[in-house]
Amino acid sequence: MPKGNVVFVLHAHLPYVHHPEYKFFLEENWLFEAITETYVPLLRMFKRLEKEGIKFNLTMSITPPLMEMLANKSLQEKYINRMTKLIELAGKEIERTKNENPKKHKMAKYYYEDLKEILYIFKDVYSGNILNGFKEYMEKDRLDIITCNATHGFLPLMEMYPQAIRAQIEQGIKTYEKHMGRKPRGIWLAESAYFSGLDKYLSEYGIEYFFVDSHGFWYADERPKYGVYRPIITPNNVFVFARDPESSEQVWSAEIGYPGDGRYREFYRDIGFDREFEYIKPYIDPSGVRMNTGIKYHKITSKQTPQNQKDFYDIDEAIQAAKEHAMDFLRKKEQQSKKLISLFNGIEPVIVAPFDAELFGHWWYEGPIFLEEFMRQASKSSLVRTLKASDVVDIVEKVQIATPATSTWGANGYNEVWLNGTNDWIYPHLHEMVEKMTELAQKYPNRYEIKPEIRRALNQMARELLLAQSSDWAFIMTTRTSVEYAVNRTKTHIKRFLELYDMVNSGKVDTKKLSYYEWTDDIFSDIDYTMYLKTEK
Amino acid sequence: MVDGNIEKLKKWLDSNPTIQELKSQARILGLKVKRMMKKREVIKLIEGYINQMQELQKIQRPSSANSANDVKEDQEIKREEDIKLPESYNKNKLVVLPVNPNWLHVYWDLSKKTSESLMNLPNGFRTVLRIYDVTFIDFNGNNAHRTFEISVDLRTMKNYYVNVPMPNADYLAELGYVSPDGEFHPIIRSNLCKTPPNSPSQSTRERWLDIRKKRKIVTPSEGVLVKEVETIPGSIFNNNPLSKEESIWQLFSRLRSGRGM
Repeated sequence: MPKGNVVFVLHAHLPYVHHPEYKFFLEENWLFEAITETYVPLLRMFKRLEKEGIKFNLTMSITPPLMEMLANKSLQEKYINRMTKLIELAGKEIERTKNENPKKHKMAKYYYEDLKEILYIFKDVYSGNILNGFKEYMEKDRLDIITCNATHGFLPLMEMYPQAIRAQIEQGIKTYEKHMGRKPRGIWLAESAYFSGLDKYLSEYGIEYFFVDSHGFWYADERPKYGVYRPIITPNNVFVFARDPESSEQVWSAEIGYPGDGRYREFYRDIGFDREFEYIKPYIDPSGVRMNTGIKYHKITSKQTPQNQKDFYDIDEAIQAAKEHAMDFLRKKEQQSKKLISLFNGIEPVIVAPFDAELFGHWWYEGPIFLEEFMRQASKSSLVRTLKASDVVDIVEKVQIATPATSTWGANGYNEVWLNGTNDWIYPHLHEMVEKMTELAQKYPNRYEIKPEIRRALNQMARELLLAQSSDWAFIMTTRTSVEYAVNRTKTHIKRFLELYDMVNSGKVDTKKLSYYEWTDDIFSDIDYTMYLKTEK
Repeated sequence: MVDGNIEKLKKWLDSNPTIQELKSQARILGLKVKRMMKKREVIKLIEGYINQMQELQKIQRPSSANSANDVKEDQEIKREEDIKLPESYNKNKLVVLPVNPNWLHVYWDLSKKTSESLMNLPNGFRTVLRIYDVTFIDFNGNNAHRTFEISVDLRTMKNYYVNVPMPNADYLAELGYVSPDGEFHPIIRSNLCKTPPNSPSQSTRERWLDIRKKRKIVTPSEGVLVKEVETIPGSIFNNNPLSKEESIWQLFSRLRSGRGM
């Protein structure tokens, strides 16, 4: 009996945020929150399913900047310090909530145990590097880990610079190999952004598959017979999967998606903002800026309920909701599959459901429970099975050839989230940097025939360029939150790049400054600036 | 909106401003002021705004950029906020980027020499940006399907958003000047830029690859089996700017992972 195949894709990405020059840096908490709320809970889920003997299949992109941060010793130490503080706070909360609401008290005890367990998994099970956890499940063939272009750069706006595209892909693959010990088979293109012709570059690097948004298939140069429900292959022999719009809407939509259920945890009520200042002070930004701690006692209640009238959260009630939603989602996938199988005369549909990994756990606290329960129930289903993207590539016997349409997964489907009045000022600089980088790579084509400090400066220029290209900065400028940080980061990388350019050109390298930049912007230790020599189309 | 401004606004409200002042302030804040509103109502309106802003501040992640930090303060880092980037790289460059099927973004940079001569054109001359639709054309400067012309003031403008009629088309731009006799003289030519398609292809062909036999099969298309149901995206940038009180994850889900969701 043919079954429907569900390919869950979690895109785990955070921009490279590392500030070794500060003991505490607010934005580094993006990583710490994601470890606590998403990455470790996922590992915990894998372990539980494995123990129960349940076969699950998941595709995950872990982007190069995220891999570099997770493997970074100083960030690991900072995380352990942060968690130690939080556990101390959670302990105080147990006392504190004794005379408050019983539901709060129950949650306080829950958080205390939960945080301790997460730190234990982080520190003792994986010795600080949870990449090893993901690698373990990849080796057990439960997880398909793919890469992303080096710094999540937005490739369609680099189209005129083949060398910039190649550098993004090449460094992405290299970083994956460094941490995973093998070559990646697939790639998640930053922002799922594809332009007609990009497949050629992917094929040059031996990438076997990537993903596009639904309209990448709908408007392809030849119409895919099975719509988004079967992969296609490009004329350059790269497989492409397209997003199923139904699955995303059911899970992710702000209006009708599961995460809006009243029983789920309310993201915006956090004791970091609710507790009195003197009490909370040691656990927030040392400058006194309030921030999330992750200890939250309220549930969404209803979307209309004002923040100060939210009801108390109960983890058991929320777990129940997540399980109901997982079953509901499975039923929907089964129905969808049945319909598609009959439409396709028995050919098995492939339903691709990609999400930002951080939706599960960070934004939607109960997301990992939902996912776990879905995998558990799906393993018993007679109508659907879960598959990894690589499994599909391995079993497909006949595939339609077409070129997907230029598209992204951003609002309205094209480039406007990354190119609009709030962020268009960055592109003249980014493009100029590519030209200057290329100019110097051509001037010094052999990296072993130049003075070490020139080589170091050129490599650092490549780092600054790649970091400046992260699509995150342009994205943040559009969302209008944390804009200042994104603007500063962009400007800093441009400025440092231009300084280094002048140093190399004048032959006078300020090694003190260079060492400082190498220390603060310390991504990709194995970088090689000569990758910018690959300019031909 | 930063803390300070809200504090100022609160103080100002306490200073008992007149109804006219209140109304004009409310308009500045972008609030809907009705002609018949009483003073009390306008105050209420502004107070509502203040509350909303304070709520918003709570949910926004504060940025380290404005938090004093504890460790050794490197001069370098401290001054990052005032970083001045070059206004120009002294190169003649014209770049066209696709925004979506109907919009192009064009930016330019000029060398000192070019910039001086273009800015000091004699009377009767004007600087012009031309956009050519060159789909399937080997462009020779005169054979475009269509040409669009925009007068640009190089003293005040460095880029332009151009509305173009055809998706899935190739565009080129030229920056130059028009002499009094009406003739266009191009100075810089841009890269080629293709707008993305926004509708299903008209192709009637289907190509298949038999992976095991490594054979290609080309057949007439039998038509698609799944009829796509497209969501019509509400434009979130033009008509309906993102409301400020929108929570971040809702914003994320609207900006990412899905067309117009």
